[in-house]
Amino acid sequence: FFSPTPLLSLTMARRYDASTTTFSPEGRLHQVEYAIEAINNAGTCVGILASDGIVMASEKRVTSGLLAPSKTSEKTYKLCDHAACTVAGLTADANILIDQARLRAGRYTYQYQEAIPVEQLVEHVCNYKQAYTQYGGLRPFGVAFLFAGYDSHHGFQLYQSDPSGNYSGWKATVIGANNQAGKSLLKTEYGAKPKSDDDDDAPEEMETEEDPAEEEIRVPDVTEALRLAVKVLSKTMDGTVPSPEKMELFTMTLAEDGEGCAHHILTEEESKKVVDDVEAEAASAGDA
Amino acid sequence: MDTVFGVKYDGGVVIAADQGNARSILMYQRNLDKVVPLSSHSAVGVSGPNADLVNFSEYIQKNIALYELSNDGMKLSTHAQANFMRGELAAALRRGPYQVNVLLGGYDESTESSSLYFLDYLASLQKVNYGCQGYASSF
Repeated sequence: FFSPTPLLSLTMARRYDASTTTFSPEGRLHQVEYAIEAINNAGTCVGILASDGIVMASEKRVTSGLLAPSKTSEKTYKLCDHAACTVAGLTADANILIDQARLRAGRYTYQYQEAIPVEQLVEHVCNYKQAYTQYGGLRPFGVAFLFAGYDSHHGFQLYQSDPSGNYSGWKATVIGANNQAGKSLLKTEYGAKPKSDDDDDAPEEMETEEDPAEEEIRVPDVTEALRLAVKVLSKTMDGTVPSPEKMELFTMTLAEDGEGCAHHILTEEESKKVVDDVEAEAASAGDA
Repeated sequence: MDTVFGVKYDGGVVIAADQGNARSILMYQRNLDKVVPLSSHSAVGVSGPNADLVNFSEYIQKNIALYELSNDGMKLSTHAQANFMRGELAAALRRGPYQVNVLLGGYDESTESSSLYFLDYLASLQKVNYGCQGYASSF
């Protein structure tokens, strides 16, 4: 999906961008694209699929020290026992969609006495968003989501959705500010073998451009994925020193008793440990 | 005057029903199939007036087909189908009830187990190992 070019403001786009229900002569929906732009200025969210769960890390943007913490989380939301999401964009818009998702999940369970398959939940929210790009003359939702969920059909899944109502499944992805930088880091680091201590023994095979499809992706576990997520956030957060207070780290795994899923937002202490591990790894890599 | 039997066994379910469709002394039909397939892995034996027998079973059948079409071939488990059916019976109950008593049986590959459900026209739902509806239930 391409983003609007800087030239847009100088061209005739202005005549076709006021209404969501109108295509431009180039076949674009400008309102939808502007909504996506709004999200590119919002706090970053990283999502990573692990072998034993899912990690979602979000940048917390504290606008004022006087703010009272009213919710347990400002970026991560539980949708049902087996699904959660993080938000990038207009929080007020997100709240409406999160309500929709929760209702849908609940109604499905009421009807079938079973957990809603994750993709169906995502598709429902996306269909709701799509309506605002086609009917009613209302503006689209300025929200992008990362959905994390588990079901018996496809195991752990990670989905991304945007204001157009499009969604796709990912092994790892980033939304919000500097997502391109985050994604490029994930491309190289996700699935890469961890550096072993005896690196010097055998020369590592160089990854050639022709082989990426054949290269076996080694899916990280939740612990590794957390570290990778923090690494990505550090890169997207303008290179400021990564600190636990600015990040919200969330994991979803199977509950230990086997009943349902465990949703966990890391405590400051737990987050600090991950951040410290990442910094130590970076420091030792710098020495090598 | 229908009869429906259902028995669960290890690896599947047997559902049996008569094939008669009559009103008073008039025998309309001797080959009415009262065991209706709901999906590739489940079927329902239905007892009741012909109108509701056909209308209700087809309604459920087509909704289940729509689910599979809409969700990339994903199948509804027997448990989910039974609860969906019960929900429909319950919703219609205080409007215009479906006068059907059914036995829904299916085999789920995901759990490698079979299940049989008894539902009556008052929207009760009970998982059973065996059951009967219609005339058979008097014996």
